Amino acid sequence: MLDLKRLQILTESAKYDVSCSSSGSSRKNTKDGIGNSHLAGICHSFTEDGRCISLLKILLTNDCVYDCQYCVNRRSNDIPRASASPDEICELVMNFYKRNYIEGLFLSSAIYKSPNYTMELLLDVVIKLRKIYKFNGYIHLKGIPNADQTMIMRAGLFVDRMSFNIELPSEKSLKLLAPQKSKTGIVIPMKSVASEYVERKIINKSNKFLPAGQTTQMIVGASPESDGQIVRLSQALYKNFKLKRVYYSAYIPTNDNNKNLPTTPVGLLREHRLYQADWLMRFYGFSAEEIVGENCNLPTEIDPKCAWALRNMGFFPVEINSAPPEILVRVPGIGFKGASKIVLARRYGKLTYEDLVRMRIVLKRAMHFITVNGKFFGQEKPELIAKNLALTEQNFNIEQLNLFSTPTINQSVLTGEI
Amino acid sequence: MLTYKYDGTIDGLFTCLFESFTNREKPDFITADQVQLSLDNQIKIIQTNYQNNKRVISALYKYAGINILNDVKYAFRNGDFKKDNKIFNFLYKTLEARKNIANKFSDQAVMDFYDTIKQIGTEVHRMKGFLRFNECEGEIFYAHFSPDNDIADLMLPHFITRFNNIPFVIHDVKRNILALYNGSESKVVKGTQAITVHLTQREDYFQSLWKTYYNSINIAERKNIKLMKSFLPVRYWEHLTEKVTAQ
Repeated sequence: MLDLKRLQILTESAKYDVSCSSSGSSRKNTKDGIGNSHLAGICHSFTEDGRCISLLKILLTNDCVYDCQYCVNRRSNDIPRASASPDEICELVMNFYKRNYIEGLFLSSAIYKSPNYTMELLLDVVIKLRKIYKFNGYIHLKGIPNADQTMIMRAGLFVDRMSFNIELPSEKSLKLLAPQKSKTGIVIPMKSVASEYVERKIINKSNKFLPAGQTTQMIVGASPESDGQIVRLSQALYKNFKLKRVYYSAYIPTNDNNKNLPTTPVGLLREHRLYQADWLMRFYGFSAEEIVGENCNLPTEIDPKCAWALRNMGFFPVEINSAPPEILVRVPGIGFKGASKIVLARRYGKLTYEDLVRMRIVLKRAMHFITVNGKFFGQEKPELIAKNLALTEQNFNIEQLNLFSTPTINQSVLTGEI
Repeated sequence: MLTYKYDGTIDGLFTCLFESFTNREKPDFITADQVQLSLDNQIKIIQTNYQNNKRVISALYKYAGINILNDVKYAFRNGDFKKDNKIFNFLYKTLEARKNIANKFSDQAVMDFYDTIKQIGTEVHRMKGFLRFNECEGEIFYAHFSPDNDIADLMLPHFITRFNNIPFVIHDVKRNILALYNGSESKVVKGTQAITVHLTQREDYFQSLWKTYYNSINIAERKNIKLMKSFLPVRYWEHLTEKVTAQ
């Protein structure tokens, strides 16, 4: 049975891999098994940093032979090292699962001895969990780049999702910060897994190979690439590898004086904007070219959808009572739920401004881009719109004012004079 | 102000609708709880009348579709004290309009009814994640929670499929309702007395493992308590193993 100390070490080493959804698979239980998968995924808890806990995210071992400069587990870093046996992992998963703490397992590992040796260990855990412990819940397995192809394909038969981390947005940065990894080592397995996934989906309706598909992750803020490059790279990944998600992880410095890396966590807002851009591509049909220029960064004061709208004011305003839904979702403040509510409700009669308020459309943003029965309620000048919207987004650095913060306020409170 | 006091059941609500239309009046407030008499408050006590209800129900089927009765039963699970009003107003407006207005979101009564139903479904989904089971003597798993809405029985199907042959109990401590599963059949009962639960010896160890995991997976540099609380409301914390501080 895994002890508290080793659990702590192996969890802390795994936490920077941000992908942790349990969605995409509708795996069914078996007669003698335990567990199933919920298609939309289930969030079991939330950490103090606001992220969801859905799976048991753990490393099989954090004893790594590589020395990737951004990673807390790099060989040259002085941290406690630990490993777990396949049975220890399986027991932990089963017991957590029965108590409804988790949806399943997210298993990764440091490179121990060699990529093949590590991949074999990981495969061992996964097969044991399915075959011996009869577990039918969610399993997300990290793929080890440069490991043998047959092992990787075999893993796809037992797990719900696999991912190979792109790590950095360009080959140049990868060579600089993780010289033992190579672009081909990462891309080749991604490609073969992708084509196997697509092929199986076409022939076999109930896809038993990687039902929840493939994802990847890259670190943001550790290297000089622009948001434009990152967004275009993501677009290409979605198109060519049919990925389900690309994850962006803001670089968190891990005790070093490395001149190649920043010393403070700078990328949090940037990571947020990248996710917003990612959503626009995946759900709203925006292309990378529409969202941001090649060598530009996403604006920090407003979200990418607003930024696009302000650059394309010729497109607006659109009339709420007649515009088709594909046009309505391009309006900042109107999403899919809002657009569908509008389309359904306007069949009963023309909508008014007050109706939109009741329907909880975010008019603070939308009012600058729509007309309601021909009437325009927003700001006419585009420069001033940006200012209006930017102000409402600035809740990152606002400080709670104290009643007695300045001498004048201080005085006023005491005397009652305004 | 006109207040209707009724018995809190669906049939009672239908009689309220009947009364309202027959007397050509619309109550400002409907409740099943105690009502305070006041100078400007006219209170009518509505006795459920199954005969009159038949006319109301057939009219509702005609205008609001075949699922309306199920929707109303579902909406009654909501724990909001204003739910009677919200459900009544929606049904009143449907009968008044003489057609299906379920998608007329520009109407406040429709939005309120939509929200009433939505809140229940959202909580069921959340509880699938937030229920924490404890291993007890006799290999039974026991979970306790205080949901805003009456959803204990709605939690059963998901966990029965998932846990297969493992017997478990889901206990709504607020309403004292128990959803039971013995490995093959399920039952929902109202608790009559206090329940004592005997945990196994190793239960404590697994709870510490979980707490350790919960604290270790956190990235302190990204602390955002406000965000966490928006996903994990504080009122649920007393039933979460990882949020309960040393007992």
